[in-house]
Amino acid sequence: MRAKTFPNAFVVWLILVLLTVATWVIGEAGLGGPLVVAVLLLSITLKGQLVADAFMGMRDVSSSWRWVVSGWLLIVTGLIGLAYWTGVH
Amino acid sequence: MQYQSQAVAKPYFIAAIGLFVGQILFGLIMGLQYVMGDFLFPEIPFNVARMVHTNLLIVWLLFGFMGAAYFLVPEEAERELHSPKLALALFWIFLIAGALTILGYLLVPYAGLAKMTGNHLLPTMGREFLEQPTITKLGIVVVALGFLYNIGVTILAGRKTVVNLVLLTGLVGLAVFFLFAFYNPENLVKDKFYWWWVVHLWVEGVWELILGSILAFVLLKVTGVDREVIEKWLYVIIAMALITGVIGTGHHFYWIGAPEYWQWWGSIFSAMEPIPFFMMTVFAFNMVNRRRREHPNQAAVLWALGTAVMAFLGAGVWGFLHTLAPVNYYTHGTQITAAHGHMAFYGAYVMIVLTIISYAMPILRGQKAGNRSAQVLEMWSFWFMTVSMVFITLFLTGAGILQVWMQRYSDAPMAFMVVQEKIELFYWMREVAGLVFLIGLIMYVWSFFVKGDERVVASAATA
Amino acid sequence: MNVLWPVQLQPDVNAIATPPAPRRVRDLPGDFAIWIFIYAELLVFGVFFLAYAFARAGNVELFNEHQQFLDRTTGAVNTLVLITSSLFAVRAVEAIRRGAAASCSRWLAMAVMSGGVFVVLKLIEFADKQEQGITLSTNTFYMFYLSLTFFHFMHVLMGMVILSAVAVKAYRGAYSASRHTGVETGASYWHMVDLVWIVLFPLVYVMH
Repeated sequence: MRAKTFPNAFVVWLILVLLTVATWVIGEAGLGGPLVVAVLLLSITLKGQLVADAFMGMRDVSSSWRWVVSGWLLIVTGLIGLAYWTGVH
Repeated sequence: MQYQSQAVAKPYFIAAIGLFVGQILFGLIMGLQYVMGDFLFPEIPFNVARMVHTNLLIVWLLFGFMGAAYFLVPEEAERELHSPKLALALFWIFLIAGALTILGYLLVPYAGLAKMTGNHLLPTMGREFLEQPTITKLGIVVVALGFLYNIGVTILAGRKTVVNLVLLTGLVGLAVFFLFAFYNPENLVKDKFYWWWVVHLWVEGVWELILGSILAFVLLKVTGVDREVIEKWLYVIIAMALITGVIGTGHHFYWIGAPEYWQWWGSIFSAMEPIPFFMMTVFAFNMVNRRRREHPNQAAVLWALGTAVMAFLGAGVWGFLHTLAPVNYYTHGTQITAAHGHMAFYGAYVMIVLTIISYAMPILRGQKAGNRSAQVLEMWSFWFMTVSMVFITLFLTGAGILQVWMQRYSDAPMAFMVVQEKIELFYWMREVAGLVFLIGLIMYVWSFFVKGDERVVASAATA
Repeated sequence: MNVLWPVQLQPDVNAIATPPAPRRVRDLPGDFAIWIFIYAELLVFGVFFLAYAFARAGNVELFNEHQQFLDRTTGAVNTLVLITSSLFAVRAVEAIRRGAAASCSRWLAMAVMSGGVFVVLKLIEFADKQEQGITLSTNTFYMFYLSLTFFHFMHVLMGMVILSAVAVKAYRGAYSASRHTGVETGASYWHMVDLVWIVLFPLVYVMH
């Protein structure tokens, strides 16, 4: 029953691989700056939520516990963004 | 009492309480010397009173831990202690060596004591908390080895429970880290560095294992919650305690000449040290809320809950207050440290020893729990000591904040002694709170002698 | 079976008034205690990441200068290794839910081996840095780089130990379709190790 839920683990894995390769390309190209940081943070949040939901099984867990991981991701990426923003100015 | 050999715990507990009284008396002397510098001079100078106050604390806590181990290990292992005779012999050796050491502090000038005991052969003296003469330190090692052998054999031959194994790990760690007391390098940075391996890795490392296992044992007994549940909590708590506490040692390395990265490591990891204490609080209240029986010893339940709360406040919150390197830059070595030290030692280690004594002593005296009047008095003593300790902590914190403000943070810093005079009022209030603590302690001791109708307790237990 | 639920999070008051809807919500997979542990670990790493980010804000040029010397390719390959390893752990849990203990054990063994690949690549990376004479005291950037990656490295080792133990137990038939908390527990920890690296790699190796 779980395996039928979309997106299934393999699709999630594929998305994670693509996002990781994209991150690597950005790194090798030496791209930087606020926009790139924002894109990377978004990609981190997406990847993290996918791992939590599809791999850790948080998708089926009561929302309070699920929110701990999602909240962690949002707070960490949000504050990293803030720190980078203060670094620019 | 399920096993006859558990009885050896009794003298250990009695000695612990006796030395506790001594510790508090010297604390009061010292507290007065803060505001009346020449009080009892030259008989008991401040540095001697301080040494006796801190050394007695460590020694009586060790008595308490050993008593706790002798009480709970046979019950957990479901067999008699390997050698009750050895336990009793070690008790007397430890007590006499301890008493002689304290007398040495009081009667002989410290330098003379060092000379008398041959400190020059293997210099280990003269360092805070590790002031004991080298021969006393060797005695401690002998006692610890005999003790570990005794309970180790008992545990390995009997039922191996998580409580027992965690306790044994903690006690082995205690002995191992004490060995750094013998390492006394010339280099002052290295000296301090490894000195913390004893001091910090005891109280913020392996002692937490001892604390956790004793607390788990008492909760197991008084709540009747499944062992499986309690063991899992214990595992997670000690894992967190070690993850945060071991690298958290770095919060002592900020300003002693150790590499700079310790400021980051120490800050980050020690900032997490409140987590295991917080988990301990959740754990204790949870287990009590889910209790399956009303244990007649309500005083022990109170001590157990009190330990969890006060350990979190004293070790967790008050530790966190000044653990981050940028904060600690201003606060290290001020009365903030003293405030934290008082509440953390009381909340975590004094209270856990009083918890196990509260639970075990009636059983050692042939009852399930103390009679109602004794328990009521003991609970009053709990509140007297705990509340007065909260006030001692608050007054010292107030003193510390002013001290930091005037002596460290200010653009025109004042001299140490000038500031000390300005915060005198806080020291007076601390001394008064200390007297209330003493009253609580007297009530506590008195509670062991209160007679009452034992049947009342028995019927209350079933009600 | 979850014995450690500490608080009733949602007291089911509505259940009295309204007929119970078919519940999709389930308990956290694995032992509840591991989740307390996972959350605490996430907190430790979270604070470490933020310390990095805010320390960088004060030394942007230093961090940018030295970041470019990191081995991004190894870092990216290691990310792929870990997410693949996580997928193996997912398959192991799926297998034991069907009751296929042998298959579960095999998937776990593959997850552990992937962890081994991560460890080897990481050791090569560390050795390379050591050869260049880079230590914790070189500068603040390298202090963070070495501390964060080493701390995570220790978690990979820990996860491998846990998964190996679970794999051996699965091989011996200790788990079944109805009793497999241990497998879920080990897998959950392993996913946490993966999750942390997913933040760590872009943050330390790429983002500037």
